[in-house]
Amino acid sequence: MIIFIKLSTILMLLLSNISFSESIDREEKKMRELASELRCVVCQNQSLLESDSDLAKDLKRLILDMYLQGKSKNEIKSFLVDRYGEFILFKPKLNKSNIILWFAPIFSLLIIALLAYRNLNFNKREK
Amino acid sequence: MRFLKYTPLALFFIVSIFLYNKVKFQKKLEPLSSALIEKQFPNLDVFSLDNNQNINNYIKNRPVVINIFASWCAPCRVEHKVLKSFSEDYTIIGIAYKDSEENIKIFLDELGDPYENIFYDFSGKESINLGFYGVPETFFVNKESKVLYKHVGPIKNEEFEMIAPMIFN
Repeated sequence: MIIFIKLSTILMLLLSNISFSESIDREEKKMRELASELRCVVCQNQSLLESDSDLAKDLKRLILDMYLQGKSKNEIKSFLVDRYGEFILFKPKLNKSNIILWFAPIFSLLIIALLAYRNLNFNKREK
Repeated sequence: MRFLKYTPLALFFIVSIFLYNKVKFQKKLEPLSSALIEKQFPNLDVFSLDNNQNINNYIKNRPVVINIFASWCAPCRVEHKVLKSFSEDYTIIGIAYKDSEENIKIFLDELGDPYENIFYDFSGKESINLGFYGVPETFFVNKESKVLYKHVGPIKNEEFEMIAPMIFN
């Protein structure tokens, strides 16, 4: 009987260990995904994921910890933006100061289309 | 078609006006990271070793200059002279980044101690709350614990002289 209890305890511990390491793997995958969307602030042409600097390692560790605490991606993102500014995001959020930049391509396409429509006479060629 | 030939010119003017405004109306004090500027100094879990005091309680109701440094950091040695020359006129507080008490002591015995008190961020995690880039970094904080300016890298005499007085206003 005692042997049975011992064995089942060991089995349970092993199983819980496996599921724990699985959850770490899952959170680490999420961390890598988020880190690839963030700029490494000390080596600006690298993402946080690629960077090997001390600070980048600390930040990745922090992101992983936050994921393990059950924080969502958006919570972690806004945590970092509060501290490092929008600059840390590779893809900046749409806001008042950059709205012109976001819509400039569509806007200029429309203008060019309008000019083209007015100035190029398509009917002429058929005649 | 008549107007089309003026488009490059018009575009040129639009871009020029845009760039001119960027240069002209640039914020005068724009440090590398502006995320903390004009905001409250964040709550940090860093403590002094003498009587285990928290930094936020320590700086309450007083204008201070907060300097993140480390004994292993070479630029901090350069900066140290600057901090020392202002340590009589301003309250300078140190945050030791990823460092040990022994090494800090050796560092300060060699170069002199400009700090009124030193708080320890052993893991380096707390400094991230300050938008930390790398040692040394200097924060100018007014009486209401509002961050007025942040300098990344070794600060020069002239800069310190120019920026520091504003913490008293």
